[in-house]
Amino acid sequence: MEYWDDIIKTAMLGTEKKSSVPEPFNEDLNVAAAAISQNAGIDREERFLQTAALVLNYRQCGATAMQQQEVTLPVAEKEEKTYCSTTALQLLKDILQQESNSLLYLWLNRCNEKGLLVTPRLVPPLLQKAEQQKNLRELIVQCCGKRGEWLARFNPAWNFASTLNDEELWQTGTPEQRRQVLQRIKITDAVKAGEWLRQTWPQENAAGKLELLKAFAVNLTSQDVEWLESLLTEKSQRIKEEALNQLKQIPSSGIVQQYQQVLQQAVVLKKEKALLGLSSKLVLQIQLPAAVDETIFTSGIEKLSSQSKITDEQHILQQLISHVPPDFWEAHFNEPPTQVLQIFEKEKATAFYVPAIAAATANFKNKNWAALIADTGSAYYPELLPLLDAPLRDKYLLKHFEKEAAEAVTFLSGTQQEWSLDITRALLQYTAKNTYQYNRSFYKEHIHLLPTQIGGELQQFAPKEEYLLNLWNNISEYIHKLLYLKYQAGQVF
Amino acid sequence: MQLLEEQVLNLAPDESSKKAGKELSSPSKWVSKGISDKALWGECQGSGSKPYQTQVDIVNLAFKCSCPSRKFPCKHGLGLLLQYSRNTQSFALTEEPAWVQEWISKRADKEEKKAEKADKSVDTAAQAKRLKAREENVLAGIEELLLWIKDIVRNGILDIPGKDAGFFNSVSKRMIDAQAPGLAGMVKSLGAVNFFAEGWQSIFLDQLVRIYLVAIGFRNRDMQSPLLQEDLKTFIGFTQSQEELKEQPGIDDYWLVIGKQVAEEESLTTERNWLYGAKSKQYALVLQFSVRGQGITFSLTTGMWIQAELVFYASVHPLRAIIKKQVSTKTPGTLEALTGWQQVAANETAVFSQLPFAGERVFIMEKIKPVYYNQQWWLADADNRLVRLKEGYAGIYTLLSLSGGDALNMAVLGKENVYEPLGIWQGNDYISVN
Repeated sequence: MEYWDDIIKTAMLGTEKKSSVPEPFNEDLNVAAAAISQNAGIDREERFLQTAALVLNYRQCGATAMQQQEVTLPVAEKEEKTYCSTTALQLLKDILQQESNSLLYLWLNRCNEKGLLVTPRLVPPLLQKAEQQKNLRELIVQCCGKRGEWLARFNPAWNFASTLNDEELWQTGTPEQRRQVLQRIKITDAVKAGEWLRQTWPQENAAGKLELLKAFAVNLTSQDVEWLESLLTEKSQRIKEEALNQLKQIPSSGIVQQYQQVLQQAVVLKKEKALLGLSSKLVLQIQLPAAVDETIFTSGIEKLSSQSKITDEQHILQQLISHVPPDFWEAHFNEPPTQVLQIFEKEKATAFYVPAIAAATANFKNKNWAALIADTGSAYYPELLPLLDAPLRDKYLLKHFEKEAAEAVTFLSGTQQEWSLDITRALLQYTAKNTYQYNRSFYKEHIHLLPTQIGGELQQFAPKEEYLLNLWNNISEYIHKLLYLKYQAGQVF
Repeated sequence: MQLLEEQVLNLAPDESSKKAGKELSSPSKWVSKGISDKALWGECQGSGSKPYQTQVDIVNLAFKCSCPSRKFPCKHGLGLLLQYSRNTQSFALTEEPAWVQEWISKRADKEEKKAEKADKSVDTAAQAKRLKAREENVLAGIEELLLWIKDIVRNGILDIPGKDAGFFNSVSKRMIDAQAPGLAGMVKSLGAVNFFAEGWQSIFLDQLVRIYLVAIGFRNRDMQSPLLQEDLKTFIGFTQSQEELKEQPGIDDYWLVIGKQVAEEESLTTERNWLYGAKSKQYALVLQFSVRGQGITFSLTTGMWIQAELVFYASVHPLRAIIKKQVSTKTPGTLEALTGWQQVAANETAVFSQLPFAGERVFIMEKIKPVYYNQQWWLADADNRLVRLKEGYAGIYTLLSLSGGDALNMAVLGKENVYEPLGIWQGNDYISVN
């Protein structure tokens, strides 16, 4: 407002430097303003203050809201799904209060399975949650429905809630959205993912290329070989390394074929006479050929061993074996997997290479070989765990739990399916003794994996040490509370 | 009485009580519970051998618990009320046990005794003498304050952001010495202006002129109407005896709590409860103070209806009030809302023309929707007139989500062209959005 702006200008400099106040006033203020300016009984400052008071009140009494016909807000589309029950919403509030992402995941999953929505009041806190928890985003977007989609438009931090299709996201999304969509498409339609990435590759910057290439590393097939091999001439060393790493996971790639060729010469199964020539036995001979194709050493195979007990030759062979698919040996020996494993395990010198076969099994994600090694071997190969079916995995883990507890807990924490009662018992037996490491936040984040039935057994895991007991009692009470909320999540929908 | 969960949680004295109350809202924690037409009660198993006896007066919302907590209400009271708000059916209507009856009847006796106590006579001559001495003290303080204001005006406000806190604190302390705590607070808020924000000059000068108006108005109080004199005295910091106020007739009405703002400074918590009377169509501001969680007389929460008699402090435009008597907590009929910002402007003009130093006021508005224009959020009425949403208003996304782009009936707090929503109506429910 003009008069008030003039008053401020005077106030900024002070009446000593700038004595003028707005004049002439309009007819509303003229009489009062004249009375102030003609009052000889007051000084310059008082005159200013009185005029300011007059203008202030004129401003606040006449404050009218501006009219802007063209300003509108688009209305949110009507929901097609229905809202979930008050009890379910109440539970969601309790879960948000507990700040357990694990329980929130369970709740959202159930809500989504039932095709239900949260009420608008809960949409902002959920979108806010999704801002930090990327793994919950998709579920949250589903559960927030059209209102969530509409609301997200007004907050750039919530642009993940847009309902652009995959192709639009790939074309116009943020780097993170593009990375996610590429990874998703690579699993469902590897050919399409390859096409998309090849099309935009020349336009991507170096950092973007590396991130996208890493996202591409799922569901690798022989169709990816040609393109990945073309990346070995890229300028960026890190891109070359990543491409090479991915090629090493594809059996039909040139690099794996090259390793196989070396191993075909190095590993030979020979029939030897035994018992004075009355019978024969199979003997496995492993020795690098005199002339090894030197190019293998440019693909990441190290020439020298850094361990005194392992010779350079053993080290090279170990690396090569871990980079060829385990079914290569089936063809090479013309024997089934059980026999192949027995052949390697027969002699100490050859059994040395079994861990490399286990590494290759994990590298090429061969589930049959993983099951065989886990079921028959006595050694523990944690890298095989993701390839095993739940019952065998649990059996394998339980067999080695005592020695490998910390690693087992780390692995189990990253699984998605609810743990069996047996594995939960083994885990709690260990975590209850290590309450400082596995405190409330550990259970808060993994409660979705604990079966609710374990609630009745928690007391059994109480540690004997007095100093740990109190802490465990607090933690077990907390686990009880979380399990109750988890139980409710199964009931309210 | 039926409170929503959110309303119950708003009664909590702090965040930790909210959390603890929620944990105690599970039925498994309670050994026994019941409800009558007067009270809600339950026995909660704590760490001791005997369960805590928790009771809630549901007529004049009040809590009592045998636990040692100094917080009010304690987590048991909140837990019990939360449980009731979630599952009313789980509370059987039954006769009150002896310990509940005893408390309820004691509360009734206390009310009677309060009335008797009010009959005691006071030494009016001594009172008048004390008042005169204080007024002289205040006037002496005002003279110094006016000199300080004039110095600022003379030298200009350009250098004010460079002044240290002492520049304002010393004058504020002088006003305390002069027995003018209201002026002291106004000076303190002058120093609290955000000098980094754009437009600080207008905010600063606005407040400076208000202080000047109150100070000069009090000095010339004999020329003012008796009601305006009361307003000036209130702004200076003269307190009015609540007991005396309670002797005056009040307005008996169904009051909706449309907003509750809690501010904490050092150990003092100030509750600002904004009320609206359904029959009288009168807005009221009920202040309650507590020190370390103690001292709140009435448990009020946004969205709650109370049937009560309110007595207003004498003013040209009465707003601040005290609850003289609360009869019950009930839900009555409909409210009357203003239809647009033009009506608000008319109302404000009526107030400011007589009380130029008045602060923010509340209004119940019809069909208001949030809109985005010129890189900021506004509140638009049905004629597309816009007022700005108060800067820093944290509930914008909740408001938007509830609106979905449609207009809402809303209670707002503010003045001139800047407002913040306090709550909105969804069907019959009033939901807090601040």
